[in-house]
Amino acid sequence: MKQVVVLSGKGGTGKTSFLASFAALAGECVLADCDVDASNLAILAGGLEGEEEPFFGEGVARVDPELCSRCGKCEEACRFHAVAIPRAPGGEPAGPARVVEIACEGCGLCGIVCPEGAITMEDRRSGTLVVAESRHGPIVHARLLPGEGNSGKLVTMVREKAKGIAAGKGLDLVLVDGSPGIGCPVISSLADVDGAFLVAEPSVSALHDLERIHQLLERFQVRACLVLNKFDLQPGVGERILAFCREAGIFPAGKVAFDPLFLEALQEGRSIVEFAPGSRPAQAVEEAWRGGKEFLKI
Amino acid sequence: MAFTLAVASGKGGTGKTFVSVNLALAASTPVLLQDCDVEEPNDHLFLRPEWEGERRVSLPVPEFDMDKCTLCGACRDACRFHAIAILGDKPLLFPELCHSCGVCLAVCPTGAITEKPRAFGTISKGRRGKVRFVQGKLDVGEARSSPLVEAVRAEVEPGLPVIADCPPGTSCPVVAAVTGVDFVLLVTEPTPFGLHDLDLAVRMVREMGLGAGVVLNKSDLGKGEVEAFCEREGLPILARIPFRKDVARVVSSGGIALEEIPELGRVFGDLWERALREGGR
Repeated sequence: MKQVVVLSGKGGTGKTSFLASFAALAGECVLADCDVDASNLAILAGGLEGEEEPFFGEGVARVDPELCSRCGKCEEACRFHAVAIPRAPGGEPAGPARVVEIACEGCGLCGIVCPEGAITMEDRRSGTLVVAESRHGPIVHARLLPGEGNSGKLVTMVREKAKGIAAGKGLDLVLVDGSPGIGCPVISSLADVDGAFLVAEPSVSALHDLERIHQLLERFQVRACLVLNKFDLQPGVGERILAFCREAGIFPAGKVAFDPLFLEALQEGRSIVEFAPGSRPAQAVEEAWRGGKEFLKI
Repeated sequence: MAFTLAVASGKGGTGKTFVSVNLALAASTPVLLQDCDVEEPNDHLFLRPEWEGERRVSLPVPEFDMDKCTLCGACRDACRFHAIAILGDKPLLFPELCHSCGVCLAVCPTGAITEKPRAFGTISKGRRGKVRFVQGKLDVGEARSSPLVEAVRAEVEPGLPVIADCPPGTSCPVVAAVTGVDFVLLVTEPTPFGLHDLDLAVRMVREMGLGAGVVLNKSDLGKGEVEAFCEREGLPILARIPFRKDVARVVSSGGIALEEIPELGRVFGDLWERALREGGR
């Protein structure tokens, strides 16, 4: 089984649009949407609704108000300012310790230092994982509840689920849609993949971010190819991106010109290769997929 | 406290950087621009500030005194982030996973653990004209960006209003960036992706009890779904910026849109005034 991730560093360069096309071109495969902050793949590939599973991230501290002696040791120990004793204007304790859930990292230190055993850690529902059928095969996506942490753990769960489904159904390709950035969800989405498609636009921001995602991929020894999206909008910067790729050993899999058909396809919830098969942009995407596939040996 | 405005989005690539930089330059008073997208900080590419200095940012991580460590594994068992393993005859720290919470110190029965600072990012400062600038840049390979976002947000100057350019998404780094702000501008585009992610961003902002308004970028491309959503949610649309190839060209080559396309100066000047009013100033 091969796993391929689509990444970009910068957001909004076209990761999801291309991945939906790749899925349509690949034949049956498993899709894993690892942009758990803002998962959009099912809008284009189908499979928004499906079987849901709760996701529990880090725990959260709970105070038993009956046991709390208001000593303030938890407040003193917590490094995230997530637990506090309400105080009267004079400073004297006015109630049992209170947890600020959004600040709580779930480390458990407050419970360790509490002399009354008044604090325990509880599971916190942090999101939902969805397994559904897209038009191209099974899809796994997830919704992190707004403001929750630990997206890396949820990404890992999405990927494990997708791998399990692929193994169970004898499918030999998992396509992973990554998130922007280079932090924890991205690192989780590229662990032991067989290769990466990078998507860039010809802009100074995309080039800057491409350099950083490339450094990350090098560190994890992931081979990468590049699709240059909207290359005709700023050909000079496009050339700089291609020059960077040559230097960095990133295979240039294809170039796709700006085309209003992409927006029309998106408005209809279809990938470009399904919405306008045989059109110039669809052909360019197909060429990029074939080139990248060969280079990454998938 | 001076007025603090966050520029956020949910979806990436909707134009947060474009809005933040141009807004900072169009504001009627000097402002501090904070680039809180520490994984991919881009404001500097456009602002091209005169740099005034930088410093490394660290967090404490455990250090093991092997004369005292008995390899009992209490630290490993207590660490909820799986940042410590016992391998053979020594404890092994995975520093990228460490949350610097201090649990390992608290549970070590022999006092073998102390802390040492470990750098994971850089904060740089600069200025361009009346715009003061600060950015965070996470080291490549580091997983946790929120503490660096917090460090950038803490860099304020007395009396100077702040524009905080946030990372994409709705999870912990964004929460770190919008904590304590007076108002949030949500930059979106009228596509199904933009709408879907705007919905998530609005829920995050509401959960945090913050007021928000929308900047509709590429406003002429849609079919009115985003406007209908804003109407239903009672979200004011504070600016509409139509898609223009000349703007796209300026932005993609690292130029300042309002310097090259003067009518944008008024758009962003008005946006700043409206954001101040909406934020209660």
